Amino acid sequence: MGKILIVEDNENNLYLTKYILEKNGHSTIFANTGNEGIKKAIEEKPDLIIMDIQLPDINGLEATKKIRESTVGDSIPIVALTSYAMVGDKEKALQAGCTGYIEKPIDPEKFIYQIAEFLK
Amino acid sequence: MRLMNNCVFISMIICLFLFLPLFSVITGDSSKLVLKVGLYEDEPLIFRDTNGNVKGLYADILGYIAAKEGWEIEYVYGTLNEGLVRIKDKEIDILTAVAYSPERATYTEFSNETVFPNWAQVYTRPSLEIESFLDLEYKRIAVVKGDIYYVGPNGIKNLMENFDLNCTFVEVNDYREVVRLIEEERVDAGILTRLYESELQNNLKLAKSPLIYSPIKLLFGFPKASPQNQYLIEKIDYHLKILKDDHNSVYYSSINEYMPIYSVKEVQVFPKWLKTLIVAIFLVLIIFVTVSMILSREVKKRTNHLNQAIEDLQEEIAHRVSAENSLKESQKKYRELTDKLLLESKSKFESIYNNAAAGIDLLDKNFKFIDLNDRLAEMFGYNKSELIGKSILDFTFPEDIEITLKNLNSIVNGNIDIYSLEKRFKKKDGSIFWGDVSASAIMDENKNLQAIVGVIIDITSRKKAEELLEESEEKYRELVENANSILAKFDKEGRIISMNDFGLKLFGYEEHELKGKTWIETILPRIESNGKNLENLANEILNDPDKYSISINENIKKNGERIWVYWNNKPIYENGVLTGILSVGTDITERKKAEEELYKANKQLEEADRLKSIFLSSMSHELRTPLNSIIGFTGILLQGLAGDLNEEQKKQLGIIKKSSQHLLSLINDILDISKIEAGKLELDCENFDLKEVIEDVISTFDAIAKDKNLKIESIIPENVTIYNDKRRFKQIIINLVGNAIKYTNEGGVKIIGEVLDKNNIEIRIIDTGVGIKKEDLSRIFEPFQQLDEKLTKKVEGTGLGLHLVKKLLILMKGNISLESEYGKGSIFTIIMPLKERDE
Repeated sequence: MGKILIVEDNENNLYLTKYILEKNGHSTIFANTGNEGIKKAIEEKPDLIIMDIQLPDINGLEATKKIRESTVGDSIPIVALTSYAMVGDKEKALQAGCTGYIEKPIDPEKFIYQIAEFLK
Repeated sequence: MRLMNNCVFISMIICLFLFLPLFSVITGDSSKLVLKVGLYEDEPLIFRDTNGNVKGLYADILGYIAAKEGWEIEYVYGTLNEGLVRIKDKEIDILTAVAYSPERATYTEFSNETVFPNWAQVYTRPSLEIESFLDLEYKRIAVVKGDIYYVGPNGIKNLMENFDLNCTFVEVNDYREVVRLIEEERVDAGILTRLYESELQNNLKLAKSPLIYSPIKLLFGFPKASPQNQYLIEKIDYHLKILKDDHNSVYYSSINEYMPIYSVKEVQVFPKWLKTLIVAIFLVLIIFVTVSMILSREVKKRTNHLNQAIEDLQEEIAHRVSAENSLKESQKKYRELTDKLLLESKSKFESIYNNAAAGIDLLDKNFKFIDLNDRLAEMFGYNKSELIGKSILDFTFPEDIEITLKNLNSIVNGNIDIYSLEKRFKKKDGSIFWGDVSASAIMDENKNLQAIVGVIIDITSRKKAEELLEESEEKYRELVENANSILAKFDKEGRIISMNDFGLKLFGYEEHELKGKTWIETILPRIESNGKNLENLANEILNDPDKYSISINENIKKNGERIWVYWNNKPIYENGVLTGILSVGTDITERKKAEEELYKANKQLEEADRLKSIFLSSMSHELRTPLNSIIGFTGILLQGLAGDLNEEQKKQLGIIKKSSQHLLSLINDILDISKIEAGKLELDCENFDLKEVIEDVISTFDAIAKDKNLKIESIIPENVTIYNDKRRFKQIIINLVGNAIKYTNEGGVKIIGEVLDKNNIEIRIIDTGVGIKKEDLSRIFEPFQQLDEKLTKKVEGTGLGLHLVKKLLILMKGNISLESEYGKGSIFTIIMPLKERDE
């Protein structure tokens, strides 16, 4: 079980992700904006970051890049939440430094197994 | 007695003079002039016999002259062509048996005295019947390389070309080879000379045709500008003249020997007049002697008286005789000189008259031919004799008779002395030639018309060229005037020299308003409406027109209206100096406007496109975000993570889950179709195994199939790799298999894959379902076409599936087709490339 940082601006979705993760024994912290996400990533050193792409200030990809450029470097896996079927999104995510991606909308049953994979 | 003695003395002197030539002595000279003489096989004029001795008319003439002048002849053997080349290269001093041609005259000088007249005679193989030159068309004709009768101005080559007749010439080195080729029937005809005829006596393998042409004079040739030519020509002409005048000379004995058919009848050694003269002299002598003896007695008596008187008289007579003798001597010398000059100029005149490039005629007052030269006869295609006595009007093209007559009458009436006219003549063969005629009157001392002399130059080819030129000029003029482009010529200062009607109309000017004016402020504004300085541009164009071969700029009409013109500029150079510019302009004002509008529209489209992309991406995000919550929380609730649920709650949450997933499919399909239509859907290609993907899809339907009691089968070949978008491919198969299961209630679904060739694979999805009515087959791939309304209610689906499948397949370079029998089932067939085609 690990400490997971959720970077997500939509309250409902944040709640959903948090609920599933916590119900399955993970501890969570969260950020509502990209910059806050970077800050928390550096300060809190979570075991995994779940990064939404569309964020109000800088988007998830830029935030990921900055995290990778920071002292954190490659030490924390970052999972992007991508929109379905936009070709190039997943490549962009990997290029920006994400470890992998999960498509929205998430399936609660599968989601927990996908997260467990990234935490290994 | 004294007188008688004188008479005897005079008679003896006369006799001595008469027989003197018998005692003429041939004198030799120790320092001999060595002459190299070119010879080629031209029997009987000159040739080598089997022993290699040079024989023939020319050899005899040259032998004679060489003996007289003390020359030593050294023969240089070769073909005619080689002989001509040697003359050109000045390797030989004299070439035998040559005729004059203007081409040869560029490197050859000719003797004046004709050695022998000759002409070309066409021979054929005996089976060939030739009546005119027309019959020689498409025949093979043997000719001697360089022969005057072949390539000369009146040679067969020009002759055939002038008649527009085609034939093949086989070039050989001498007449013997011509004869051999005809004998062996390797050619149809051959060009020989009339002199060669004696060589062909009783030769049945050759037939003499009625065709003869190009009469020429055989002469001696000398390399041009050789210093000894004048001497050689003078000597050869002089001796040849003597030989030809004397019927007992070597000239005639040579003709008798080599050309018996042209031999001259033996002439009596003593002509009759000579006999008469001798008899007369004898009679006079006898009378003189008799009278003298009778008178001598009388005279003796008075001798003494008269002695003194006689002596005085004798003295006076002696004086007079001496004076007369010296007078006679000078008269004789004068006559010899004038005779010689006359002869020379006559022969020169004849040569010029007949060989002139122009036709020359002499007409009487009734315009009938008194005489004409060979060239003119040749131009008409008649023999001279056929023309003499006939009116020139008979040979004038009918339409030109009136003008000819008008001019001739003016000469006859003395209104004019000379006229020149370009007119058409009729030839014997009915064709027409154009002549440039200059005619003038010849008057006697009383100013009475003696004759009209005309000089006619054949200008047919020039006329033809002129006609062609006129035609093309006419075409060009039409093109210029009717062109839907501005055609303008400017001088090197930019002044307008000319402009076509189209240009004038376009700019609204009359020609005189523009001519000579500079282009600035007539058709070219100083400043373009977008601020560009056109005066500078104009100067740059004039400085370096090659650089500005294309210029698109604003122009101005007389009424001030601005137009856009696409100019194509071509500098005109004369002797490398720029003299002006030729410009072709197209009014592109409308196009320019359209282009601007198009540009604007394009910009708008681009903007719309950009907005569409943003819209699609936003929609994708905005619609999915709430769905994420709905689907996510429904899942959590159904999982019981938030607490236990009763059956009713579970059922209702199940409905929410299903409906929200349906909504998600709808959103996904709509977004996919929109993306394809906007060209925004990109494929994400990779290699994947066909069997693996198909089996993966089937496994997702296992549960549903079991529920409906349907059997899903698949026959897919192993190890088939497809390079394409794996996820899209899977989406297509899911769609089709999903449909098949959806619409099938009994039986099952079969998926069969088959590699068609090394590039394509076929996948068939076969069901035993409800099938599709024939009339509906065509619209099955259109959006929202679930066909059976009852079914629609029963079966869930977005109504976009097949539409999306078809669109995706086209994008993936594949295709889909459908066979179906209503009530029995359907077969969807996909054909897809194994690899991307353009790879």
